[in-house]
Amino acid sequence: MNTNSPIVYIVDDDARIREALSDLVSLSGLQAAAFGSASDFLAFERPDVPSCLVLDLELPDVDGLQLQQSLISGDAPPIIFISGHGDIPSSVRAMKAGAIEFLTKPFDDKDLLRAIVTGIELDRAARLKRSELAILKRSYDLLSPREREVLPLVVAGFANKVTAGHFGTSEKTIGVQRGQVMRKMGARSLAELVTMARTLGIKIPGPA
Amino acid sequence: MVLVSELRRYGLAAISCGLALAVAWPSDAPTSCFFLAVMVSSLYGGKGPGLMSVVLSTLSYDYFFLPPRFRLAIEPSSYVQFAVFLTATLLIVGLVEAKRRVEEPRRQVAASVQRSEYYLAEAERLGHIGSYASNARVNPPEIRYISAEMFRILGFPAGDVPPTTEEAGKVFTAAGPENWPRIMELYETARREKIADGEFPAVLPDGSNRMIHIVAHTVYDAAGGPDEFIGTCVDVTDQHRARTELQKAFDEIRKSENQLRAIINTIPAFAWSARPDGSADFFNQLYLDYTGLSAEQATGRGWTVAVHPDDLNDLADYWRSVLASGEAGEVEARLRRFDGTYRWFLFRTSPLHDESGNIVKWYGINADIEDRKLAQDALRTSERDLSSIIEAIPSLVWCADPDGEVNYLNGRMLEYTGTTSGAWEQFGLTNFLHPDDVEPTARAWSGAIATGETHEIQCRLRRSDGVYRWFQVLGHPARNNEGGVTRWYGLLIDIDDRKNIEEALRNSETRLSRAAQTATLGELSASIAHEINQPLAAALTNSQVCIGWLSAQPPNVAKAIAAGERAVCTVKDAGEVVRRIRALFKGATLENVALDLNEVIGEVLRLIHGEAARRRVEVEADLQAELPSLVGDRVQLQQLIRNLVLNGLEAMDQVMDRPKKLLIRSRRHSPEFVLVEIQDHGVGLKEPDKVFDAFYTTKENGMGMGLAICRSIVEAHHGRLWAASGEDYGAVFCFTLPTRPLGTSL
Repeated sequence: MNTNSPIVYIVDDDARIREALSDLVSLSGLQAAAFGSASDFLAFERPDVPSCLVLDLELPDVDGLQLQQSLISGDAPPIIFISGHGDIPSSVRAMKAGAIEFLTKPFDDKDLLRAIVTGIELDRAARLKRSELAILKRSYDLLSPREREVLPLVVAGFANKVTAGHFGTSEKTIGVQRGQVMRKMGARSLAELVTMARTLGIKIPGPA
Repeated sequence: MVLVSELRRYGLAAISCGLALAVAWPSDAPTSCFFLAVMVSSLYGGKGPGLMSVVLSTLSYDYFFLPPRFRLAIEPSSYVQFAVFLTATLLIVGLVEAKRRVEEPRRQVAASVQRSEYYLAEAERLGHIGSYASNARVNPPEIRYISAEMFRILGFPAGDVPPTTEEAGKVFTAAGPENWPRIMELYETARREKIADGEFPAVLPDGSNRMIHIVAHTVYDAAGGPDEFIGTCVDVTDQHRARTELQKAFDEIRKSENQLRAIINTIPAFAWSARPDGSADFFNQLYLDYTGLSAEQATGRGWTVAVHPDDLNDLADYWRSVLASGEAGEVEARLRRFDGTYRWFLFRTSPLHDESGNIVKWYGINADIEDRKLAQDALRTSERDLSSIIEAIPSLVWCADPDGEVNYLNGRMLEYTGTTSGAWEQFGLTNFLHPDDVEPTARAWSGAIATGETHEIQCRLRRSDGVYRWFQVLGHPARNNEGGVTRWYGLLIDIDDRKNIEEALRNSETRLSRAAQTATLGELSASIAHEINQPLAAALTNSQVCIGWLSAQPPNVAKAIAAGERAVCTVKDAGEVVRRIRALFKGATLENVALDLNEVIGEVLRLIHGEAARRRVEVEADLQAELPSLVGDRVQLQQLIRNLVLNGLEAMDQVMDRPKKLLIRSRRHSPEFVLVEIQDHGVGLKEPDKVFDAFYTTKENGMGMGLAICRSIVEAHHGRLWAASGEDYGAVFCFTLPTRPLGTSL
């Protein structure tokens, strides 16, 4: 198996379903990893590749909705629920909690595959975002405390003179610090730095 | 005084001479006047004043009367006259002086006798000693004289005439007739032995009781026969009384001393004393008998040989600390008996202080505590055993004060909760209870404390790892003679597994069988749907995958076949499920057995007990005793009642403003029918007539089959099922069932 290709996780207590779904996934050219229970899935060390989770609502240990709750934070894969009961309240709960699809058994393979593809794309985008953010954070960590103070003012568009006045230093010093910020953050332009600051969630002061 | 007396004497002489001159002046015989003056002066003044009056008289006579008059010179014719005068006066002085010389000693003796008598009387008065004299020649002796003090002693009015012997004797016989012969005996002794004395009680004429000491001293005549008794009487009442008291005190002291000695030597303890430096100086007999030491051997530090060698150092240290502190103390040590066996003793000592607070003595007793010690050891062992048992039994044990304060928890309890006793004291049970159980548990416990009745409740208790387990809490009160609760003893029995098994009884069989037994049709259908959907879903997917592999470029026939085979299998599975369900329904043939409907209701109530508790519903059963038995299918009737009860419970889920209460009542409706009513305080029925229709439901998840099934069960039993709205709120479901034995089929 290709270690970098996306993985579809399948959690269902019914071996027949697991088997059928695994085969379906491999037919579509993706990797499948099937588990009989939520705890087996949680115990599995997931590789760092785009993925999605096909989750049975009724599981013997922790039920699907609970597993979903426990996965909400962090880098959990998008979830596609499948259920033998398919009652409305649980499907609503599942969707509200961020599931991308809720399919009742028996379901059409095209519906499932479509959902799987969507899930993997979503995960891929989320991963990219997470890694970009991680890079930005690493760059931001390189800034000195003063440079971190200068950054919002620079991004807000204040002239060096104003900023220098604000900190009670010389215009020249601010100029140097501004250069440092740009260099350390790897920003090629002020516009890029502004985007970075937004991504990092830095509070940008309004015009004075 | 002497000078005054002298002046007076000489003054008298001078005055008498002056007076003589004054008297003599006008008379013719002046000499006799002067002679008188000289005589008076000499008689009252003595020799000196007499001579002075001689000189004065001679000079006056010469000057005033002898010629030449008014001159001291004497004519020769007067020489003789002068000489005669002088000689006469001197003679007078000489005669008077001579007479005085003769009379003076006699006068002095008389004065001395008078003084002596006065002294004697005074001495007698001061010494309360009376004296007497009596005739010894007669018997009884005749009283001749008694002193003034003796009058007083005998209580007679003072006088000169002594009382008669009879009168005096009465004073003594009044105190007892036997006194008279004793007094006579005293005098007889005195006659024989010269002196005798004795004390005799007396009652004086004024009625007072006295004690009189009589001394008799015999005076013998020349022939050696007794002549007179001279003696004294002394009132010794006070002395006698004092002596008697003293004697009594002495007797008492002797008695208490004897007692003390007896006590010290017989008390069942070893008594001893020690000097302030700690060296022993006394041991009672018991001590010595026990140790087999002699008093000499034991004294000082000798007694320590009897102390067990293992205890000696401790004892010595302790004794030193007691000596240093100067305060009472006690310590335990073993003492060797004369036969070599050691027994445990409690050594107790306390100091005796003098008035200034210095320790003058240490007193101590050693009490034999061997038996007590053994008993204590036995008790301790038994306590330890008991404690081990309590710690070892696989239950959580607790004890509480009458007011409910938990004061003991066994090790398992602490281990289970992962706490210490301290934490329990601080937080109590509440902290370890499941939040849902806190309130009912507290209520039940306060109820038990208030009524003193056995406490029993089920609750969930948090284990050290945070997991809650079900426990049966049992508390039993221990009572005193008056019936008051003295302590609560309790157990916490882990019933989690049992509870789980109970739960499993309800849940863990296959969903299908459970549904068939007890669930509503809604659950049943859902279960059936799931059981069939699973293989159907797998079959569908497998079929699609099969097609997928076949239509792949190039087609993967092997995989397609595998998928196809799986599809076949899963479809077969689905068929099997359907077959099983049909078999289930077919196999569930109804059994007609005689049964007691109350019993069936009881079974159902037990089954739904947990559910009711979870929903906080109080279930009350009002079952008529001796309900006629009926014939029917136990399982179906259980399902019927269970459905109706569960419906009632569910109907109260939304109820907040009134107690959640469900009443189930059984009655004999008519000779042929029994009636069961299930009344809830729930939301009530909007359309009581429609509820039994299939697919009628007010529940979010219901399929509307439960009550329809109920009706079909009742009707199969030839009974009737209906519903009505409750009086104030809620709904009542009623059904009747015939009591007479049914025919061959339902």
